[in-house]
Amino acid sequence: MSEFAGMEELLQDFLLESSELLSDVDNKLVELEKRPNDKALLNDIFRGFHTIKGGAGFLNAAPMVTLCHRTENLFDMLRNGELQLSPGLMDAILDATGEVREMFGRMGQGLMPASAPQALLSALDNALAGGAAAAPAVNPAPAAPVAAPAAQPAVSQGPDWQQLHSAVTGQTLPAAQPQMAPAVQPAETAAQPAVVAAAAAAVQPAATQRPSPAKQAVASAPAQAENTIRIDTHRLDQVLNLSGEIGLTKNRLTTLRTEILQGNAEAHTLRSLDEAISQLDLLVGDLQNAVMKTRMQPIGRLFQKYPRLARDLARQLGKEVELVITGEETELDKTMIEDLNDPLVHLVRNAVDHGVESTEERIAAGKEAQSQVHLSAEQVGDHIVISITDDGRGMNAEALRRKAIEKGLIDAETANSLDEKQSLQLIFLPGFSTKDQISSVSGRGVGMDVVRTNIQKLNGRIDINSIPGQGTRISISLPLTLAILPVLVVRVCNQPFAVPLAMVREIIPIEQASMQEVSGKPTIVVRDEILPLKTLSGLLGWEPTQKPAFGVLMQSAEKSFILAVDSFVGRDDVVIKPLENIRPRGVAGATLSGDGAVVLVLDMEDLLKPQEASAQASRNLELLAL
Amino acid sequence: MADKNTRFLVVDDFSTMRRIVRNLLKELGFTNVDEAEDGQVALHKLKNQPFDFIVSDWNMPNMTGIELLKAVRADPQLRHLPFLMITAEAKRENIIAAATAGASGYIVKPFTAATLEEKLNKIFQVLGK
Repeated sequence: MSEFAGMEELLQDFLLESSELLSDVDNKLVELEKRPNDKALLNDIFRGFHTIKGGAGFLNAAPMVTLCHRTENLFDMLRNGELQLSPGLMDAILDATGEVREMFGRMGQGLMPASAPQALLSALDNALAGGAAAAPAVNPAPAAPVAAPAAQPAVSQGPDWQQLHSAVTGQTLPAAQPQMAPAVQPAETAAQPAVVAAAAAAVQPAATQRPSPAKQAVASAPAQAENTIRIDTHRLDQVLNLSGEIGLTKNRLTTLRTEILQGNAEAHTLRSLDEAISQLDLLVGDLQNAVMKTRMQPIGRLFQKYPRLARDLARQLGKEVELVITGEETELDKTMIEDLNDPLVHLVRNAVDHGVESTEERIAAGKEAQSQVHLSAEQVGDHIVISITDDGRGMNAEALRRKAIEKGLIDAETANSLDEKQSLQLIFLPGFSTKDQISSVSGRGVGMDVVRTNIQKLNGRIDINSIPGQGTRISISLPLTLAILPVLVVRVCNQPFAVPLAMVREIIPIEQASMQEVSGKPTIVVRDEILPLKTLSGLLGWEPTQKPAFGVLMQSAEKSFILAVDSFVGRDDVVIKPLENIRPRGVAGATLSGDGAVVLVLDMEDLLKPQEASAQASRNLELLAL
Repeated sequence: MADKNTRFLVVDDFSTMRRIVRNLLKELGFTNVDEAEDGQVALHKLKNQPFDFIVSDWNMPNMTGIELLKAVRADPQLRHLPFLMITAEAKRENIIAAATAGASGYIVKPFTAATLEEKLNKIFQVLGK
């Protein structure tokens, strides 16, 4: 049962808008550390908390009002120069934003947020009292939490402030009406105390000491399932226009059908039919595009969470890291943006934790003390490429190979056969973690293998480039949307199959002469690259009915191979329908071809998995050597 | 009683808040409501469309509520418009500043439909005299 009964819609709006606002505040806080006296920044942050407080008040979320009120007052003092920003204070403020985010999480589940930890409120109060400049925020002071007079409104400058406050907040009739009359009578005091103060007082005693303050805001906040989306009205109008036009074309077709059924099949009728259908074709394509566009969101919504993440982590590790973001306006399907969060959090953490050296190491290597981690997004053709580049120590292929052998993931012989690029791929093996000690930051049981799996689920690819001593670049390449999948339709044993076009590099004819056997397996050399040849019929476990005439050069993540097929139908954009109740191996779903036939869409990753998943090692080997 | 066709302009940079105010007004029977996201947008709308009543937040980027109030009062076409200032603060200096700049009323967040109605009625009363 929601504690926000009757206000659900309002709550959704509030959470959506406020979460964006809070992420913005978080980024401005990171900026503020560099320019602590920037008035505009202080003002913006002040307004952020102020706005959230205002909305929370209407939702009766008293703990959030209390917390935001204090933080806002703090920024009021900061912008007026009554208070100086200290690292301790900064920590308290960052904790406060983390706490607000946790509260959003609770509210998202329909629960009233609990009161902020007493230590945090005390730290803010202490700072507000102008006293202890370095409020001990990160590790709450063991000092009695009662120290702060809770019920007292945070900023009390004038003696009659509280009276005025209650005078104006008065909800009953006799309360002050300070309209027009320039002289506001503080005497006309209503009996009830100020809303904010009362709320604070009521909540205070219940405050429980939580074990850990919200330190890793981004990572630990419960994933809020966003089920609303904001769409530019212009884009919706386009959808409306197109559906209108499709309606008109449909009318035209209906008329033509009547004519034809009545036996009027003259040349010009048929030509009109042809025209109408071509037009419909165009319109439906446009409509698909327009609908897809409504789901597109700028990736900046996701990116804006990371500067704070990088900053917190860098501080924890004693490093100096700046996260530079570009291409935040690049648009991507909404569901993909949500699914990208976990992998990206992991990669940003990795870059800061493993990629970047310690400050001493950097100086010793003649580098700038501050490192730069660059997070970028751009559209390349019909793909979005997201990359995370650090200027850290890079990856050492030899060390990676050694590690993999130590962990028993590969044997020495395999290790020796791996080149630089293949060695880098080792980090994607399950159970691979380069750090000997699992640190509190990166070693959370989620490895790069999970990152890669998640990216592949989105029909994406992940690649690594690394230069020892200069840094590492990890790039993720994703299709624009998951709704419509471009495929290549091939034919085997007279049955059509669709393979994702994203994996297709090129198509080559298969000539007996170009085939070679390498360790008992058929291969073809394409531009000096030895590629294994796999027949689709073989992968499906069918008896081939003819000799495959064409090879599709496919690439998934790091492995390339040639898929031998009988013939081609062509390329197509399909909408995949999942198969209900059955899940044949290697089949992602089904779609309809132009002539109404069912075409199975293949899941190549699944199809390539060895049927007898015997030993993990052999599977790993397969993954690498393919 | 107030005219239910009174044309309201609700000014706030936080769309959730605009929606709240709009809903409260609707509860009170006022359905003729337009919105603006800051003082600048509001001023532009005020100059191009007829309105009868302004309900504005104080703290906004680009142009604050108090700046909007001053601009409205300085404009011969708009100066007569009633102006209800919404704020989260009830600080003495704020109240005085709003009053001096010519606000018709002052309401502190969060408020209920009843409070809003009472504030509006007060203003309509003054206008009716």
